[in-house]
Amino acid sequence: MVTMVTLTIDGRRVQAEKGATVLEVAREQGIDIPTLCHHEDLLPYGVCRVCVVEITRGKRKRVVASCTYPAEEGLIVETNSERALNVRKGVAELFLARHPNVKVIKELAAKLGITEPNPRFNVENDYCILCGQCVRACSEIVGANAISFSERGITRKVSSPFSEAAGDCIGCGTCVYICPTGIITMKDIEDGGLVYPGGRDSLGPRRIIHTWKVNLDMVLCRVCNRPFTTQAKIEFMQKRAKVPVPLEELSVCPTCKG
Amino acid sequence: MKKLASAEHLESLRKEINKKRDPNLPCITICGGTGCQAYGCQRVVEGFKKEIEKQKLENRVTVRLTGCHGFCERGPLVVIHPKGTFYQQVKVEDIPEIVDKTILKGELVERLLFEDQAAKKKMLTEEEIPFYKKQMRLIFGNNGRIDPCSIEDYIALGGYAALSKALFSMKPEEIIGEVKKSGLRGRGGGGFPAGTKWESCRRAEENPKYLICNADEGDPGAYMDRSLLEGNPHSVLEGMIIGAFAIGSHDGYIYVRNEYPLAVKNATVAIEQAEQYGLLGKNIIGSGFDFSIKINRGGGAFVCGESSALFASIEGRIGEPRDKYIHATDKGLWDKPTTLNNVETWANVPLIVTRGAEWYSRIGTEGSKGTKIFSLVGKINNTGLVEVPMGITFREIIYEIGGGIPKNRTFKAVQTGGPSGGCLPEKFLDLPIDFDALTDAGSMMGSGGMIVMDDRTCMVDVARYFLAFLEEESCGKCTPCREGLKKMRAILEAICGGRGRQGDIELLERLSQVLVDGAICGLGNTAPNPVLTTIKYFRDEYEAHINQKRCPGGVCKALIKYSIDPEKCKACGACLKACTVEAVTGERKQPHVIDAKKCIKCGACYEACKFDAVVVS
Amino acid sequence: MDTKEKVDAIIEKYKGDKGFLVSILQDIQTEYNHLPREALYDVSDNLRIPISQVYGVATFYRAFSLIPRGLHLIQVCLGTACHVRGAPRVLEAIERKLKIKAGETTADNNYTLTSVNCLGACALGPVVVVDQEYHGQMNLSKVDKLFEAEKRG
Repeated sequence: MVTMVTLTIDGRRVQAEKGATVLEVAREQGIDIPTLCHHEDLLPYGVCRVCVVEITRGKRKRVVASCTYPAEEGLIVETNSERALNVRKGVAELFLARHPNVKVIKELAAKLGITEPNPRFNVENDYCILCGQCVRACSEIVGANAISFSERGITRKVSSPFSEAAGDCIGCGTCVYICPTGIITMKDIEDGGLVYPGGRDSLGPRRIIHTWKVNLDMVLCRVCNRPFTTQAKIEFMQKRAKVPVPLEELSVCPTCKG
Repeated sequence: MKKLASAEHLESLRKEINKKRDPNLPCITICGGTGCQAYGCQRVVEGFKKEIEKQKLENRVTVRLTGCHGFCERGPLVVIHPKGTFYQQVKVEDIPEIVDKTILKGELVERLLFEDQAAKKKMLTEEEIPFYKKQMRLIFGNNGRIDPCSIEDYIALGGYAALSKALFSMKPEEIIGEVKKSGLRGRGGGGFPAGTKWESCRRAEENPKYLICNADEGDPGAYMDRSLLEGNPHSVLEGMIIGAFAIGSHDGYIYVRNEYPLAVKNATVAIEQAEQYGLLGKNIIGSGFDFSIKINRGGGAFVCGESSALFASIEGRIGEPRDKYIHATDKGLWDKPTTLNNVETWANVPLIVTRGAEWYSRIGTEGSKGTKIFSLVGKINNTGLVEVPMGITFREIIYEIGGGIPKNRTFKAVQTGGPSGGCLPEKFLDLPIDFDALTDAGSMMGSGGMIVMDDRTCMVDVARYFLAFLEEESCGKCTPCREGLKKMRAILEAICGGRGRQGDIELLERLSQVLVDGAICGLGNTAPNPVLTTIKYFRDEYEAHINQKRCPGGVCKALIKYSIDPEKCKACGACLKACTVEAVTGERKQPHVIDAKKCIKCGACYEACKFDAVVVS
Repeated sequence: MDTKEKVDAIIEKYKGDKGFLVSILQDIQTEYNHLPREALYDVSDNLRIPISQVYGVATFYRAFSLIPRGLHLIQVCLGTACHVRGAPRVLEAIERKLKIKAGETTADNNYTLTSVNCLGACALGPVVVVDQEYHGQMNLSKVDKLFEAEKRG
């Protein structure tokens, strides 16, 4: 039995499933709230604070992250109140000072009317915006848990264990696809040889994920003989499969399969 | 050791213990608090034990290392019962004389007594000493009477009677009712009504329920929780067990800061002893109620004092807080209903159960009942831990209990609430201290740190100090805190470094609002408080730094100059010798001079000069 | 005993409860004066926690160091009370003496210098702790004396 609740969002009275997030409700209603760390296939993380809105509950007004706040009966939501906008703009300003050349940041800031980093701020040039989508995807979707956040505070970063080759990485490339800034890079090379410092001397095709210092054997499709995935991923899928899957089935590339 | 199987069993054990103790025989108690440990109290204890043995007095005289007595300024402290003779700054060399004169002959060792400067009188007992007179040591008082590693000491003084009453004469709802009626508010900083929290947890439908004692006391300058947990761990345990019974929890944790090994040790011993006596574990005192407590240590992270980060740490993860849109009493540790309270809060519970909510609610103010333990530190004559009723004023604490500012300097501000609090100026000296009054003034109660500052403190430097602390301790998860603190700190470093600009104050205020509204947890939400209160009450200092490049407190290195007053200089050469970079020159009998270009402003000359000839401007 | 045996013994003490990861790492830190990589992999295997998570925890908390700490640990309290009484100057003096900054270890591996936020000995402020021994009311001349004593051993 699904409980429905009635809430007001930007003046509109709407019905929503109890427990749905304010962001989900807003999107359903066609109201645009910008986000950065949010991804619909991942659990909400609530760290970028771009999606903040102002809510009124009883007598109390509060600024909250819409991606994590649950819809409740009688909730009043203002997605662009002064307080919420001030946070959103402040956050954009802080992001721009640290990531002035990252496209998604520039776009977000521009939408909020900020075109230049604040001259009073020391401007840097980092690319990772610490949204955590790579870490979360590797954990929640793939289940390899090859990378994580390390250190804390201003030196918090995403890294492979000991900043060395990520031993648990299966080379699926999910982190590369999901990263909003493009800082994670991957390259498939046909011919081996010593392509990465410390990489194995091999003549076969390899997948390199530079960011995690990963260098993995690729597997050739049984049918078309082209490299299409890593050996590690095939082994991982075999281990994870609830019903045993024969190796022959796994070594056919998507094109040849379908 | 047979486990206690009934309330009567506990009472007869208590009688038995007390029968063996003759209150008229001398008992030498030595303070074992952190401050006194640093003063070398262990050697004093060993010294007494040896001397008692030497004089063959073991059968008559007890030597007991106890919890913290609170008067840290004057340690090592020795209190001799039954008279309560109070000796301060006791050295190992004094011991034979004490034993000979006081124990054997009943005489006093005058030079070890406390002398009140104002009254020019020597004081004999704790009760007479001004530091203790205005205090109301309901929670902390027993620290001086018990050896924290002896459960018998605790039971002798009435320990676990509250638990017995709760288990056998009260229902859980009644206990919660009493705690609600008492008005007890969380002592960790939040000030949330404890009874209401317990009630929500009891009502939560999921199981199991967890009960946690937050001993992650991270505010720099605050060490009350440590002294309570080290000095009287059973009082905390008893409160926790009563709470567990009230909310329906069977699993408890004490989360202790990594930097408190003695607290971990004493709490561990206390738990073991309580288990041996059947006061913890299965079938407590034969009531059928089970509850066990585990100790989980922190790893060195201030943020883990925040409830959701604390849960993460206990779960073996990094201490990352999360949005608290669902209360911990519904989903806390491992997403189960959890009641988290501070050490001091738990220690108040047995008192409320034995003396009743009615009695308790008569102490304190309308909105803040009971007492509060503060660590009174900084520019203060009597540094120590003080327990006072809510509603007492700053003036009473700082001047009557604290003995005023050293060297007769002028009071400038008092800081409460740690990095989440604020600095209140002179006009608040007569403010009755309670949760709401402090919040209204722009500060907060916090865990109880009370740092006194004099005219040689720079308020901008204080704000900078707190931001540096918070930047170091931020978990780094959310943008406002991670990036905002860094930017705010950089601006304050610039201001203190003589590079402040017009508009900096406004920028600090704007960034502050982003943290207040946007940060995920309490660390970020309250981080701007030190900055905002110092701007509110000491704006002139900010303006002096920015506009005139001047530091009125004489602290900010870039804005001060060390020079020698030729009228006062006696050419003794002390500053020359002390100078680390050979910036001082001077012939004998000639006033010495500091070369400003070489001077690194380390302050060595200022320290060395006995004639106040070194001037900081 | 090799690393794996020592680590297994430590984990056994906590009955293999993942929730005590921080305490387990602390015991390893005490044993080896740092967290050796090998030991972290052993923890990961034994408790079935991904190495990335163990690494994350090991680098998040200040109690841990992945590189060996010096023979002697010097901690300077920078709590608010000590700060107000001049602790930063004391720290600077020690940094000058050892020629390292707080958080670093001397080249000869003799001393690691760190700052601490409140040791609870505010009456003695400023406080410096050398290998668990407390030194109170520190000032610049006392720092000199302290290092002379250290040299003499």
